[in-house]
Amino acid sequence: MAKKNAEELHPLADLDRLIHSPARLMVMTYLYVVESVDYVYLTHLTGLTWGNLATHVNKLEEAGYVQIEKTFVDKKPYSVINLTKKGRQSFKAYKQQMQDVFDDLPD
Amino acid sequence: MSTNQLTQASRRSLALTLKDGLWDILLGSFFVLLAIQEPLEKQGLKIWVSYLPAILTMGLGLPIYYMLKRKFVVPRMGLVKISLRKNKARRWLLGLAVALQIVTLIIFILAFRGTLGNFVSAGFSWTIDAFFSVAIFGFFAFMAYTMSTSRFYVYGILLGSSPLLGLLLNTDEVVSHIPTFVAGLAMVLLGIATFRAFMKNYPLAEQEEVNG
Repeated sequence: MAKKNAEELHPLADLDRLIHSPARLMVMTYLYVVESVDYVYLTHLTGLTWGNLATHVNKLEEAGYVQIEKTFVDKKPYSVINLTKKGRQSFKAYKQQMQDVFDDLPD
Repeated sequence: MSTNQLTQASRRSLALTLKDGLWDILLGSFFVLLAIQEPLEKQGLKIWVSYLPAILTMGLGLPIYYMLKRKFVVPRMGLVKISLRKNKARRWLLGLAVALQIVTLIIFILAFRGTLGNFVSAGFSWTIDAFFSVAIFGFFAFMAYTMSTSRFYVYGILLGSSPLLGLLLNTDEVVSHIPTFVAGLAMVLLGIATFRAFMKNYPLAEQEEVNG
């Protein structure tokens, strides 16, 4: 089979598969609209179990899309998550790709 | 991924911050004490002294509110930081709240200086009450929509109708403040009920959940 060049590839062919998973997409969406959030708040927002959430957040952290910082409230430690610049740019690019594909579809 | 879905995510993020009902208790207490300002003044207290309970509610109430948030809400709900920069709805709410307070302050100063005397005696005082009714209802309705918290529509109706109801009851200046008192009391009671439900439905998070 001949290799297709970049112009022949469907716009979704190079979709960011790290973001393109229901759970991680939810996590990235909520992180996109807030400054920062901890695991507990994120479990309430997404409805994911903490173990499931921790797995997905770790994958996003490995890719450099999120960063996790320790903070203290009333001397209790909390892990706070926020999007990195790379994560924010990747999410914007993903959002634009999806919008372009659906905008091109006929009604 | 549409802008609409991001707006919904933003609204849901804000909605959870009101799940505990503490804000309702604080705001409701303020309106209850604001309503008793007139009876206190009639007892012979100076006007600024009669406003003191309402002012102190916010002055002392806010630190208590944040203390209760840290002690009871954060361990159950978690931490979130929602910036004005990333949240258009929050910017609008803050802008509306500031604008409403500035207008209220201006009208209060004008009334205090007697500048509104002719306006009032010409029978147009109802326009000030109508303005406040619409403004208060509009503000709470906008808050209810942007923060996806439907009980704020009820507060909007109760507090928004208070100035006009007060005008209808204006046979006695004390009685005319009853609608505001009732609205404030309803907010406090609903806030307490919301807080109790919150404490029941949101158990303390395990330490491993907090730390990830």
